[in-house]
Amino acid sequence: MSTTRLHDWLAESSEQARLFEQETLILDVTEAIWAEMEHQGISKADLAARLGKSRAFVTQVLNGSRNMTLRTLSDIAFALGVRADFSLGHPVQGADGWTDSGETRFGPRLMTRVCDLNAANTDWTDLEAQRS
Amino acid sequence: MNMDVFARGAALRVLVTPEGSESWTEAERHVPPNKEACKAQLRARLQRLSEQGRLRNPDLMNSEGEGIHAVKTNCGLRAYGWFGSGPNGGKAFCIGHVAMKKQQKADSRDLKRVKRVRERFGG
Repeated sequence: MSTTRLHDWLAESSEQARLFEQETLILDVTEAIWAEMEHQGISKADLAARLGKSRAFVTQVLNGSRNMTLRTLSDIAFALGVRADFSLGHPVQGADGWTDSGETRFGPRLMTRVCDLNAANTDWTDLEAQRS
Repeated sequence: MNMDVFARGAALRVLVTPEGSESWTEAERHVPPNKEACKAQLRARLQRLSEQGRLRNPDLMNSEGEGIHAVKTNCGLRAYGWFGSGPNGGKAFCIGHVAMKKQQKADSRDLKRVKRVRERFGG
């Protein structure tokens, strides 16, 4: 069994690839929330207070040990003054079914984007794109 | 001394030393059967590290002092390593040791082990 090459490990079983996709989605969502918290200078304790939940709840949701419901995600976005957006997409694949780097598993998967609720126009503003 | 390339991301490469590889296989033998997702969790977090150069959530990555960092999972599986450059240059996170941690605090033997590996690689 290959431990140390990601693409080999993913190719070993569809169950491993499925679990990896779950963990990747959790990271997509939670790291986007962390990026927004960093941007606004908000701590976990601040977010917990805004949500009316315990700090432990926020810790568990953000580290993936507690399943985040879509309602909780919406509440977190609302508490941060942003909106969570998502789309289903297919990452670019190489001829062998992998991306160019050979490290990313095939899709479809969800992608999240944090959008500014206070944008002046009716279109949502992609904050990640603005910051990059 | 060769290191395996675990993942190549936009920010850095995650490399695995032979000691890291061996201890990784051993550590995963101690992952409880109902925590199989933990193995995928460690890999997803390492891949994200290669893409972003860091993990924003401080609960997922700790500094253990003296330049050693731990990428953590929710079941106790941890990858210990250091930031440096790969054999052909470029930024890298080098995994020197992987352990299934039983208590909250890092085991000093695990930290000693990864420091020894780092010395061998000139880090």
